[in-house]
Amino acid sequence: MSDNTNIPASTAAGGPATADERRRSVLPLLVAALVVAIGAAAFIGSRSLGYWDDLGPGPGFFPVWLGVLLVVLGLVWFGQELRARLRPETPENPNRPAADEEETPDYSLPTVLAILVSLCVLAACLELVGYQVSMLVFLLFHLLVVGRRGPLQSLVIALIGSFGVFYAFTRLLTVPLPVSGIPFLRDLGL
Amino acid sequence: MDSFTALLDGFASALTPQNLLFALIGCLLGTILGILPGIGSTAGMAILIPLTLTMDPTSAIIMLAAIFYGGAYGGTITSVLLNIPGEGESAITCIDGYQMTLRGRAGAALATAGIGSFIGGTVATLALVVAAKPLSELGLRIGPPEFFSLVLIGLALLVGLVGRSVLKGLISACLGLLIAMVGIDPVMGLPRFTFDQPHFFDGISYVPVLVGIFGLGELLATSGGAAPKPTAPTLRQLLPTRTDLRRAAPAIGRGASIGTVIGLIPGVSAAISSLLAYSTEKKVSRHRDELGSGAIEGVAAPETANNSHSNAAFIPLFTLGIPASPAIAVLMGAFLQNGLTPGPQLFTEAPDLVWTVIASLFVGNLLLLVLNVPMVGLWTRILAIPYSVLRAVIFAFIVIGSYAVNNSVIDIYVMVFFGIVGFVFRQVHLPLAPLVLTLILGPFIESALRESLQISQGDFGIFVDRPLSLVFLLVALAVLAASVFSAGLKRKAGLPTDAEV
Repeated sequence: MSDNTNIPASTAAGGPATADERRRSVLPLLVAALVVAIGAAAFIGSRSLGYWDDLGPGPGFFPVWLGVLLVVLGLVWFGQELRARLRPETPENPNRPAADEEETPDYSLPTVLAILVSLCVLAACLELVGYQVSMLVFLLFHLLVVGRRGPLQSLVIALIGSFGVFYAFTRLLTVPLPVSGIPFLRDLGL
Repeated sequence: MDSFTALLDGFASALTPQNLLFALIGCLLGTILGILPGIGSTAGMAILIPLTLTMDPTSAIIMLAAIFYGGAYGGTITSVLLNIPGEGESAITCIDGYQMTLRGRAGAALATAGIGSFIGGTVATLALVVAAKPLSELGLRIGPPEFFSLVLIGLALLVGLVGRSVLKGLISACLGLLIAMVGIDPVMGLPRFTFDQPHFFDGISYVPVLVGIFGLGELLATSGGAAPKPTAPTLRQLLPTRTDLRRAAPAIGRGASIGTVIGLIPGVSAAISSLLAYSTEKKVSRHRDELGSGAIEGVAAPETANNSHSNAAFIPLFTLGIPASPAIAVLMGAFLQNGLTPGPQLFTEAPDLVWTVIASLFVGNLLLLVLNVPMVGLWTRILAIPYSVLRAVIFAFIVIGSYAVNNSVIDIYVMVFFGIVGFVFRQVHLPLAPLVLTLILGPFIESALRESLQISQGDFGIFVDRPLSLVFLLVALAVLAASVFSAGLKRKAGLPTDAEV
């Protein structure tokens, strides 16, 4: 990406950014360790699948090698990240790994969590109370609480996104969307 | 002349009201998705695949392909007006495009980009028509060992060129392959990594994975920012002057050839084409000194190149069955989802479909030019919608898109999980492109490897004994070695990182 892209100012400015930076600098180590763990799990999990049979390579052949490769690559990455952190801190080289020189778009952790949790709650409610009600509540939450939009605007958009979309998808596009699993609500057409 | 007769039949079919309508819808949707922050045409295609399952396959593919190249045009709009590349391939356009906007010449920049895209797309599609027959005949002669080695070239290029770290590219590619392993093993019929969930016996559907990685992942990563507001140019500002056209013409010519040639290489994203076209202008253009301060060549060349690249990328897909970029990989997913396997056989199995789709590429490029340039004002109004509202609407769509593939809530959780994966990948700068490519190609790579070893009765020598396969392997090795050694150089050159997203 070119240097003059107008990405919203990064957290590098200060204030809460320092905690943020610290978290980010630990994240690559965690992810590298996770890559090693996934590789190991793939290796162990695929040994029972059959590495080789009369026809040639068995179902376990490919995943075994993938597992080995992931463990090795993950370890190398972990080593690189660790070495970058152990390097003495200088004014030109603040304690950040070399690979992290690219700009990361700004995120807000509370919003990220709100999005993830609300999506999981929506998924859990979808077949229980039906698409229409759960999507209505979901959209109202995002418009009113997360987005701080006005009540009337939020209600209109939420109604279109829930009841309107349900009608359009099930009737016009013949894509079925879930209805409520509770008989009382289902009888109401929800 | 055989190809051209088939193409004419394709036109007859592409111009039926139904197919024309879907090309139009695709162009409009693609442009909107290209403009919207947080969701590119790759995610857009992934979200819309489930909706196309009830459609006629030809119309479905026409619409998805139109979304694909329409997205590039939408990305141009935000690059020029806001200095924000909606798509990676438009990043380089920001430089001169935004400078032109600051000088009140946004309209001319957008119109030139539109004309250049049309010319570039048409040239590349003509190349597809010419190359289709001979290349697909060559493709039919490629056996499993050659296919495996050819895919390795694509992966090596992707890992080496797109990301700045070869190591991270390899990790991403391996993770994609591992996800592709989930499901019933294709040869023995044994369940692998399914966690005893019958839902995963058919494998993890790639639609929720792609929607999660590209859609939700991007929305999470940009959750702290607010989208800036553009001002739309008036219609009169849209008309390029005669000087503009005279200056842009050679740049468009060079961009079209660069994009067409680079688009042929599997694994290289359109961002590389636009970057190359821009740097070529910097070397050979008569006005090279003005580049960087709002020169029309700086918009014309990269925009022409990325659109001709997008269209040329259909050539390896149709003739060899290899998707050249993540976006094309998603499109390949749409083919597979519709029961069609892209590749040389497609020309004999479903010639009507292939030629209709190729003809629709011409039609779609023309539609984009005729519709989108005058509609710039309307598009910018989409950006004026508050970001929180846009985001809420996008959430509704990604939930429906994920659910609708198998009518299963599990896929929504899969989407959320891969949203987190996409978010984390962005935070630690792991490139997403290799993962997506291996995710889609995984089953093909594995069966090519296993079939090769069955033919040779377990002897790995088969990959070096067959001359074509050996050449492919050597090329892949050379690419990988070159990218390891030039890692530092690339960092200095500022190549786009995860350029296709």
